[in-house]
Amino acid sequence: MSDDPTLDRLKKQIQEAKKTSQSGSFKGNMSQNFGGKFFNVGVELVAGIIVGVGLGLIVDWVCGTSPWGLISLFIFGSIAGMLNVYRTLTRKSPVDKKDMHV
Amino acid sequence: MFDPLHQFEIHSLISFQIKGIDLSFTNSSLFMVIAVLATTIFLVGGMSRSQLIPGRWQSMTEIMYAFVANMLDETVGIKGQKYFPFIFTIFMFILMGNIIGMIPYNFTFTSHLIVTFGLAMIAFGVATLIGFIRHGFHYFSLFIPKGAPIYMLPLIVPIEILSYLSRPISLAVRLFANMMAGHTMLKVFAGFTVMLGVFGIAPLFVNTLLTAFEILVAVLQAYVFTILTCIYLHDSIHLH
Repeated sequence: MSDDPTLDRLKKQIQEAKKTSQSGSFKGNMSQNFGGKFFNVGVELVAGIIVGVGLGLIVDWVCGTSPWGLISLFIFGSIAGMLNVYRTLTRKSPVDKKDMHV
Repeated sequence: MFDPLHQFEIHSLISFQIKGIDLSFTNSSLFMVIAVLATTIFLVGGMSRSQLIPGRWQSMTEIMYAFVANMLDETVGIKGQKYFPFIFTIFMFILMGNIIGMIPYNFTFTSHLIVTFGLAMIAFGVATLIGFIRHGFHYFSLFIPKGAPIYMLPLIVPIEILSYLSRPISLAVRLFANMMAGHTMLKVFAGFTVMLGVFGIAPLFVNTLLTAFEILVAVLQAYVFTILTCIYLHDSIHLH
């Protein structure tokens, strides 16, 4: 189009950049491939249990219901952790939607 | 003997106490200040001579901006745009902290659980607050999944609440564990290099690879932290 070769090159670069920014493949892949997802799973499970045990201890300490608060909230916390794992693996955020393999 | 955990020690640079509460300016605080200053210099300096065709520095700042803006756009949508400054601040602070921590002799403040927990609580607190401001008490319907039978609610609601409360914990532990584990591993392999003398070339090679991997982790974890904050923000704005 133009006589200036640098302008042509720039135009090509802009088009390529537009293409990659629209497809968004860069981002989804990063969280998927590099263990991000798999490391998440362990942390999510543990986080649920930590919150369950912590709340259980607090409830027991406040209400004096030891050890029932700890026992029941530990169970609920473990289930919540598993629910977190399930959610992490099946999460359909707009970013992951394009390259969902799970 | 070398100690791979020595690098995480906190010592106060300027002692300062209020009513017995230790508020000293520590090496951790120093590197937080450095991270903030570096971010400010990077962004303000990049945009100070803004041109239509950006130079290298301006391009870098614009890429950062566009990266976070796209992320926010794709996860939260148009309603999330006014929270961009918040998300961008979190991203840049963690990214700078992680990257500065990769330079030898520097302190990585994101390798302390209390720092990442503080950041996670800010992200979680803001997301929750926005949810309550936008939806009022209707926000509690987040804890009731769509189409759940009413007799299952006594079981489901506590699980959902615990799952919700575990968000900041998982956010904090993920960043902390990644940074802490990576930096410890680097130090351990560096220690092997010193111990083995000539044969130390083998762990040195591993350490070179690990350094590259750690830089990846540093950027990736800043990204993961930010994207999860965006997802929580999405949940509190859109309420299934």
